[in-house]
Order: sequence, then C-alpha cells, then structure tokens
Amino acid sequence: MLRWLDERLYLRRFYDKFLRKAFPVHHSFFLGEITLFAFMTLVLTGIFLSINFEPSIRIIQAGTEKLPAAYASVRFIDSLPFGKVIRSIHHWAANVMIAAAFLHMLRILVTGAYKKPREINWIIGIALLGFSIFAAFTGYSLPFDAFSATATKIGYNIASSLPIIGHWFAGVFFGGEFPTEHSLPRLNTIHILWLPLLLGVLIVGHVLIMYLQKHTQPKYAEKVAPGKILGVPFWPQQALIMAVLFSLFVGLVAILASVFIANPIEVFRPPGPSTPEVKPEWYFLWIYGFLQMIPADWNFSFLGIEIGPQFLGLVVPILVVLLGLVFPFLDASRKKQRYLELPSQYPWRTGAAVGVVGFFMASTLVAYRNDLGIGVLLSWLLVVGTPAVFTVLTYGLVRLAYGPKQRVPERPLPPSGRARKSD
Amino acid sequence: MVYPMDPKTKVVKSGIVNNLALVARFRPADLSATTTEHAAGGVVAYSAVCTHLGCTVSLWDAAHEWFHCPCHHAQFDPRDDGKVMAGPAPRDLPVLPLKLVGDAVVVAGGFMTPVGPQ
Repeated sequence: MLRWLDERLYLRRFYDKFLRKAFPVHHSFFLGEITLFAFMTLVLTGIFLSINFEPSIRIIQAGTEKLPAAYASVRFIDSLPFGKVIRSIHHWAANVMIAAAFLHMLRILVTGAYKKPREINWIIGIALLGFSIFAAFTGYSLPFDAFSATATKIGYNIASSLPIIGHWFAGVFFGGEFPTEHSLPRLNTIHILWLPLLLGVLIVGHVLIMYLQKHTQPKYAEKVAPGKILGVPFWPQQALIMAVLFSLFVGLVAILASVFIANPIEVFRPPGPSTPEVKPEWYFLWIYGFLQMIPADWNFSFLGIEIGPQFLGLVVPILVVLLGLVFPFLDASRKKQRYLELPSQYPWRTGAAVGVVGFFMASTLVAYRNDLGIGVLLSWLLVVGTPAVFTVLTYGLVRLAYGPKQRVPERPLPPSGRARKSD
Repeated sequence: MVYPMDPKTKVVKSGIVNNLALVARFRPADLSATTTEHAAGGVVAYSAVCTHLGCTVSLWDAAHEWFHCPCHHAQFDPRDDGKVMAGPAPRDLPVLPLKLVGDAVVVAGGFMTPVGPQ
C-alpha cells in the first residue's frame, strides 16, 4: 500500500526533504511553536464560534428582552454545552499567541538570528505579530456588549484621526462611523476569513523559509560538531515532542479559560448610553498609556493638515514597527549567520532588548497613571528613562558577569605558520 | 443624561449617540458669564460625547465638580462652557443652549460646536 502510494506520489522524496528536517533542541526554540499551537487552537475554537454567531447589531426579540442580534447569539453560544469555556479558550489563546510571538521575537533579537540570510523571515514575523494584534482587535467588537462596543469605538476614532485618509480608512474597516448596521458584518468577515487566511499564508511562508534556510544552530552545536547541522528529525521525534506540547498547551489554556471566564457579556450588558470604564487588553495598554500622556494642547497643523493628540498616539506604534522592520539592516552582517550569538557576548544588543521590554513596561504603567497619580512630566520621564536605565543596567550587569566583551575567537593559526611569519 | 425631544413631533432620537446630552444644575451665581447666557435658571446642558475618542462622558468627579470621561480621564468644567480641565481631550464639550419658557427648561438651539471627535 505504502509502496503503491510512493510510486505515484513520491512520498519518499517528501519524507527525505521535509520530514527529516533537523530541529535543534533548546527550550527557547519552542516559543515559535507555542505561537503556532495558539493559532491552531484559535482556528478550531473559532470554527465553533463562527457557526453560532450572528454578526448584526439589529435589535431582535430574545426571550423577554430586546437585544442586539450579535449579543443574543453570543448569549446563545454561552448556553451551549462547553460554549462559554470554548469562547473563553478562544480569548485566552489569542492572548497567549501574542505573548508567545513577542517572546519568540525577543529570542531572535538577543541571539542575532535576524541577521543574513534571515532578514525576510524577521519581517514576515513582525507582519505576523502585527496582523495577530489586528485580528485580536477585530474580534473585540463581535460580542457587541457595552465593553466591546466602547473599545471598538475608541479604535474607530483612533483610526479616523489619521490625517487626510483617516475618515475614509476607518470607514472601510468599520463599515462607516462605528457602530452602523454594516460594522459587524465587515469586522466579522475580516476577523474570521481574511485575517486568518492572511496569517495562515504568512505562517506557511515563515515555516517554509525556515526549512529552506535551516534553523540558526545553537552555540553548543558548533562545539559538538562544527559545520554540521544538529537536531532531532521532524518525524518522528520532533513531531512527538510537538504533539505532547500541543496537548499540554490546550490543557493549560483550558484550565486558564475555565477559571477566568473571558468577557462576561451578561455583566457588561448590551451597549447603552453610559460608558463602562474600559481598559484595553494588556497588549494595547502601552498605546493606551501614550494616549493619556499626550497633553490636549499638542494640536498642530502641518501644511494645512490638522494633527490632533489622538493621532500622536498612533505615531509612536508606527515608529516602533518601522524601527523593527529596518532593524536587521541596521545591524547587518556580511557573512551568513549559521550559529546563534550568545546574548552575553553582545551586551549592548542584549541591553537594548531589555530596554525594549522596559519601554513597554513603562508605557503600560503610564496607562494606570490616573489610578496611581502619575503626572504628565513623570510619565514622560518614565517612558524615556526606563528603557535607557534598563539598557545601561543590563549592559553593566552582562559586562560584570562575563567580563569585557570577547571577540568571537578567530581560529588560531597553526604554530608553524606563525613561526614562519616572524622569521 | 438626556435625549432632547422635538416639541412639535414629540420625536426622541434616542438611537443616535450624538444626541445624548448631559444636564446639570448649579447656583446661577456659580456659572461663568458666557455659560450664564446659555443656561436656564442654573441648568446647563452639554453634549455627552467626549471630544477625545467619542466615549460617553458618564462619570462625575465630585471633588472638582467636573464631568469625567471614564475612557481616558478627560475632565470638563460644566460651570465654564464645558472647558477641558484635565486629560487628553482636544476641545471643550459642545454647549447645548437652554432657555426658560414659563417654568420649563427648553432647548434653545443646536449644539454650538461640532459633536464628538473630529
């Protein structure tokens, strides 16, 4: 049977080429896989949610109440067996996906794995992270409770604060001035069709390029077998590890999701005239922090274009993404990178990575500035100062722990050669 | 929070969030000069749509006696033309002018500035 298939489908060639790929074994290499597992979980739970969801804000008679159809259908999902838990798993898996993707990116950053030839995959990776966050945001609006409607409306107004094209741009994505009757069908289609499709294509590209270029080898591989590729083959060893990890992942997220039920719509109620006190998800808090530390009088017009403080809140994330995109070209290497660089040998870069974390931490802290009583000036000091302090501190600590920076040791010349030169 | 009603047709456009208004009553002497012009016996009304990012300004800061938006903590002074007192809002809350007709407080005209974030 297998031979019959092989003679027709060239299974052997596929097996040799793809299923024998060597996967280096190191725990930090699993972050990318966890991101993938989260995506798979999201697709699976998303199928269940989408076949029961009605993307409409029209008011319908649901039992004794008049409710928006989307809200009523989410209440129906919650009433199905395990419905509430599956919806909650969907929510938590999205959080894990974004967190794991970010940590995966940090791992690439501190080990220099973005260098030649892997710049393209770094850029695809940033696109993946960006679109994941965008996908999470479009999911926000769908239950159409007071919380989700308010959060989406804020997103709409931020998007429409883009100079010139803002109103048009936001209208395209939100189906006019959110919430209109076109809003949910549009956001829903973007959320359940186009973004998953785009993410899927990008993930396939990301993985195929990784297959083509091979993993950057951990440093120990250079000592054990220089010039050779070290790791366990995909089939069966790595596949078994992945299967175990995936089961573990689903189990842990299910526990998390059943203990912390996400977005309890019955508590938030459908959108009404008053606004609930909304704080965005943690991966938006840093932008939320920026929105609050920009004083209102930072309005200015440039070439006749009005630029408001809302837009300035958008400028920072755009700059962060742009910096991320050009980074592999700023810190380029001419040689092809085969081995990971040890974070301890690149104290400045490691420091900068910790500084990036510090930047997000400080601007997240500023998101709570009203509760903590942090003034505008202190906010700015925190956001500018924390990354700087973290960077210098990490640099100092790495230098202290590992001594002065060691150049990657050149292969010493054979003693005979050196002796001849000194003659 | 109120929605204004058309006195002739008795239509209340409560489905439109931009129609939502905040109403408060103060001692007439506490109001600023320009606010007094649009107030009716100490009663003032403003748009409830925050000029920052369009949330409903639904909280009351009792310490300062300001309207407080729960989303990004913009604050507005109802005794002084809905002026921005704190937070990120770029413009004051639009005034809804009121007048007294007999004993009734009625709306004297449309919102004096554009409603919501622009």
